[in-house]
Amino acid sequence: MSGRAGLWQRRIRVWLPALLFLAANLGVLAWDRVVLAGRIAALERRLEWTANEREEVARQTRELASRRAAILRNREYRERLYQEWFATPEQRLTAAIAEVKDLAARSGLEIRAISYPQQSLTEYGLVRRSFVFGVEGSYGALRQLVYLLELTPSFLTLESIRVGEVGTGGQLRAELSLSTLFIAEPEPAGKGRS
Amino acid sequence: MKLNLARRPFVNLRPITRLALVAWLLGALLAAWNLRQAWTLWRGLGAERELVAEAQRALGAERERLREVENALRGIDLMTENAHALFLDQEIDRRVFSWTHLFESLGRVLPREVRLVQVSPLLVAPGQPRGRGARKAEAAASELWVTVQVTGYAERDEALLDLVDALFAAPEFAAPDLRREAVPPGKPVQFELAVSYLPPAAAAPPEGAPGRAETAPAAPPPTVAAAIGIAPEAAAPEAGGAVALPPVPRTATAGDGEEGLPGVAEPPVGRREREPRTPAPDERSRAAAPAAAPRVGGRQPVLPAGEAGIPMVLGVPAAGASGQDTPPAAAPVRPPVMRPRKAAESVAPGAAPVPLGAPASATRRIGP
Repeated sequence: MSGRAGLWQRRIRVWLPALLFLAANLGVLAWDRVVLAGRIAALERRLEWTANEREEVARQTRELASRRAAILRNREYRERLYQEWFATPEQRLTAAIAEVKDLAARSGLEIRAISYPQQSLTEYGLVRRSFVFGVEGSYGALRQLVYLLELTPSFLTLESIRVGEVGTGGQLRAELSLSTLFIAEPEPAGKGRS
Repeated sequence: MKLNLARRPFVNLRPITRLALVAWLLGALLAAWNLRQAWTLWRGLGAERELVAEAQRALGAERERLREVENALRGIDLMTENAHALFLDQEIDRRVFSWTHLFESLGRVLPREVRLVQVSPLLVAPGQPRGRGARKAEAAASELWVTVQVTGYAERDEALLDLVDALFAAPEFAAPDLRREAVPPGKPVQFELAVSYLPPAAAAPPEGAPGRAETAPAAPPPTVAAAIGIAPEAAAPEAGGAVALPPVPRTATAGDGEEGLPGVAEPPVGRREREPRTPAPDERSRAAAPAAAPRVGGRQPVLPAGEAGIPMVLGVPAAGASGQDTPPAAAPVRPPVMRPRKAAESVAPGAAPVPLGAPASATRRIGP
């Protein structure tokens, strides 16, 4: 045990603690680099996932909320359409009949007869009332009536035109079918009871 | 000779001392670095944990909001809403349909030897028209096509074929479908056809139409379609997305046009021949009068009594047909401006969100 090796062994108290101290710090450095940084990276990934998930949920929420808003707005429009344009027969039927007759008269057409078939649209809470009538007049008058029906602000729909015959002086006999919608009125349950 | 007077032999301790010093120095530096790094990392770790916790709280709150909205939507019958909106959209479409434009379009394609007796438009859901004319719809796939059912008379077979050819050629018509043709002895050719018709986009009266200059746009009515629309396939009972309007019960009126119309209420030909209709006295006088428009370059079709048909090319009345070729000047009537404003919106799960102010004429669907 002589020579250089013996010297290092005899002086081990000098160099060994220093080397151990250095090695320990290298270990701590490695632990910092690997373990702690890994934990942070994992947390960052989790944060990113959470943010993405939140964004996705928020998008779905916005979408559903906008749909719900659209439905509510639609219901509001529908209610306005029903109340302001369809109304009940009590409120609008006679006015509609009078308007049809008035438009025909203004067009120079003579209504020969008119019938009012009715179709119940229960699922929509509506009643479709048709105005089927024959008119006599010129072609120009017929076109004029069609045009006036297009212009009228009332909810009158021209369903079909059927030309019957040519009369004297270029007179046409035509059958027109118009229709309009009314709010279905509830059955008068108490009416007529004593 | 050198004299060594040392009491102990010489030992060189400098390498050991230097190594120890360097190791201590490096270790101290590393320790300082590690401390700093550890502090930073621990702080960062804490901050990340806080951020994650905060994001999870926000996610939970967002999920709660989503549940609330879902619960609110769960109470709404989307299919019923869709069907309702589809129905009302169709009604509005029918209301704003311009017969004047249809007449003018038909007038451009109608040969002189053809007379129309009945014209009935049936609204078709937006999309391609059915049949061979679908190519025309490629440029206007989102437009509303209307199936027009037409019955009439043609003086000659060729005139009817000319009409079909003209319908094929006209840009506003597509897929003409000649459904029925009959030639009763001694009578003109009776026919029934259906054709897809693309109405002009504007609901306003045509240029130059009477009363146009004097009119002012009326306030549009609320359109249900403004908020939502329907996917035709969701409610359309017919194949191909075509939606036929519910039939309106028709009651025979004082007119006698029911008789002899092919495919509508036509009695069998034999019956008609066995039981010819006796026109009323006033009808006889009208039939005898030269009321029908004289056709330039052709003879008048001989029509059955009481079924003279429209004695003109629609929109271009033959001279003398009525003595009133154009509609008289209309009184100032406010035109309805009731456009079906359907915006596209889907509520189908997983569907991409569509802004509410979507363009018109696209259907909107609220449904699963």
